[in-house]
Amino acid sequence: MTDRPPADAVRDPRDELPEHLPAMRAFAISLTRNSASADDLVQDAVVKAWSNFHSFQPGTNMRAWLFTILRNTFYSNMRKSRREVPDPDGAYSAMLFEKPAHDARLAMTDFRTAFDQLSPQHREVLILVGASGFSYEDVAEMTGVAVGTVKSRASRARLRLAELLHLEAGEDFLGEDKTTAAVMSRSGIQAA
Amino acid sequence: MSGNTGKRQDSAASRALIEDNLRKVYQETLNEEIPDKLRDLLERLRQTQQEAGK
Repeated sequence: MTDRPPADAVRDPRDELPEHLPAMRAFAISLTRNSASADDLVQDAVVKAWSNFHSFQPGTNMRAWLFTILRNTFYSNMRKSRREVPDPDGAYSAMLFEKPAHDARLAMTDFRTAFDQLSPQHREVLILVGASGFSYEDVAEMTGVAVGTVKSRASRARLRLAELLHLEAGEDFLGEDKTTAAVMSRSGIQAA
Repeated sequence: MSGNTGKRQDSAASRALIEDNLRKVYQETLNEEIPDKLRDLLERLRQTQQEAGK
């Protein structure tokens, strides 16, 4: 007698895919800023994931794996279409963005508008780190960059968002991490 | 309260506001209904896999 279940009783990792769909779609919307494009992106990513499940390591983070496929598909499509206006510094976006009308409470529409003005890389890092709850290490692996780069990218993204929202963005925006602060300082980012 | 302390508090509040709004934006989309076309796609992929395994 053995404690191991028969091979055919082991859960197929593909069975877990439906439970990740809402998160994949939310991440896709944050990248594309458009529900229809997001659904197309999720569809492409699901098909790729399905045909590459042999490369998924059981026991590892499936959501991170799926998000990696999704973001790679997004950037690959973006490169192909080249529809985006090149705007690395956000100068063009800033021109389009009007100062939001807010009192004590920040209206969600203002926030969404500002969030949409960010570059895809900045939206991506804020959603992955700030909203999805991935660790900096996870995000570094998913995006293929160093942990320090993820941290500095997140800090820059928060600063940019604060700028667009005309919020006070002082030294707290650099976070408590000294490495990030050092990277930001070296790269010439000034706290307000 | 010094000016610097006030600025730090504003900055911390701004950061908290951003983090809070990010979570809300993400959560709102998480709660949206999954479109039928995505559910149908998974169903088709499953069927294709089963047929291939026969």
